Amino acid sequence: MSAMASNSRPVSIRDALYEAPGPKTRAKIRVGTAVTAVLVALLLGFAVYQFWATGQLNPRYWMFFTQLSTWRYLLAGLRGTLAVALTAGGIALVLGLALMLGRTSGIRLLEAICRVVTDFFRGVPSLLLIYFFFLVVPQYGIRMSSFWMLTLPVALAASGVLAEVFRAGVNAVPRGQTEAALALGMSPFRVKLKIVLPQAIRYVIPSLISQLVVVVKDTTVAYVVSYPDMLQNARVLITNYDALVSTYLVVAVIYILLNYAINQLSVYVARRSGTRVVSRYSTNPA
Amino acid sequence: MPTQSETSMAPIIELRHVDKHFGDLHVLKDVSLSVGKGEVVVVIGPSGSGKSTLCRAINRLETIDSGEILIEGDPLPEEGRELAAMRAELGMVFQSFNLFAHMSILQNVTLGPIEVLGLPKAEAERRAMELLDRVGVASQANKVPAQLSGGQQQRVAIARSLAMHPKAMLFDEPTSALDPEMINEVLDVMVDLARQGMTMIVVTHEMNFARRVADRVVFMADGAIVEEGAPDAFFDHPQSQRARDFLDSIKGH
Repeated sequence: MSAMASNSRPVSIRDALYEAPGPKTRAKIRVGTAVTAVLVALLLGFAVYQFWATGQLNPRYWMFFTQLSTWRYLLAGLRGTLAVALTAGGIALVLGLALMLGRTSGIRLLEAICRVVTDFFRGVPSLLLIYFFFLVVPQYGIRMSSFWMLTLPVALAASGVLAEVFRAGVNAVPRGQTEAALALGMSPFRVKLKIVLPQAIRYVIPSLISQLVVVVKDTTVAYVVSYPDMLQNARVLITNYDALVSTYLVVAVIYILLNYAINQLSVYVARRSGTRVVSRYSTNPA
Repeated sequence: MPTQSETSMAPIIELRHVDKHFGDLHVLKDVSLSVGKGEVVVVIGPSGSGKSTLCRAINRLETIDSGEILIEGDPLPEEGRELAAMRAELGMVFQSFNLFAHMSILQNVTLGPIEVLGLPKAEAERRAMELLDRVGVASQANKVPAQLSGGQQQRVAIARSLAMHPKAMLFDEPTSALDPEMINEVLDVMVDLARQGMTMIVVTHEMNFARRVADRVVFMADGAIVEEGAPDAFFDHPQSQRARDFLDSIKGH
């Protein structure tokens, strides 16, 4: 109890859910770790062996990665991916916030509309939305660049999710905050703007950043509208060099690194704003 | 007790035959109460007796099913600008302080005056510092609520309410969430307020405070006012069996 209550180490979810392992459990964990390590090593060895056996380690599949032009081309694709992801993320942020505000506005009709819109964008696969912008919208004489044909549907799909993330944040702000502000004579709208939203956004910033990972992955359907994102450019390399496995492997690593970086950013932000968020509800800090 | 001339004016707060249900639970049963200018009314009773609900109904944080609540003779508005204006004139102090967690102590106290009363920022800050000084936490002005002790937070909450120049103050169990050693620093501030003539309704379990400061004690049980009277009379000679049982149950330690 005293260790839990001391301020030196914050109580984590793991502490709350699992008790500390005893000697027998620790022995079991050691055995499990060893077995897992062996299995992983075997699997890796098998993968490398398969690469070798099928000739995928042949230098002709890899040499073109030593050329600057290859990387320049891939990085141009990465820039395209980032442009779509960041633009779509920005639009989704604004739209998601608007949808959440509508859904919690207290105006029945507006609430119903925003709920339907949110659930629609959340439920429809983004690929379907992209087909809609690619095949249906142009039929009504609306011309868009391939950038927007990709960015808008990805943004719409994400906005539905972000609206729910924002709503979770608003629900997490204690009711007492609203009551205290109402008791001062502030209007419900001002209370939401000045008291609830700033705290809600602080709660959900890590989730919002993590959601960017989903947006980045959504951009990979760019081939539908032939927008030159990283995966689309990778396809071109594959055709040129006839090197499917190696190219996809390199591109996969880049995507993993990018998304890992985004996740690390959200962890960093959570830690920076989190210390205050966590400690603020201890009513009697020692 | 208020003088005769004061009671002849409209009471600051008046409840007439107020009823409220939470589902099947009848939390307020035909409650009538009148609080005159400068009066300190302490509401006591077992938990679940409806005393917090009564307190919160007065500035409509809880709605009521029937009956009337009058503030200086005018019915409590049900919504909108009028309700907000009425709330601005009634200070409210909560059990869990409810300081705005994302703002500094100073901002907590200046928010109401700036947002609602339209005071210039400099003027609001000057007055906020006076109030923080009065409740003894001026040195904490630039911290955030989480950095303060419970007692300090509650004193800031009182300063936040006072910054609105309220006609009356509602205290909803202001010391119930505090560690024992912090209760007195909050009660001291409330005693000072009472001495300076603030009209107060205080829901509390602090019997010594009630005896010392109250003009009138209201005893509630099961959603109804069972008994009310001067503190000495109530504590020394309770009239009802419920009140006797309650007072017995909290004595003897």
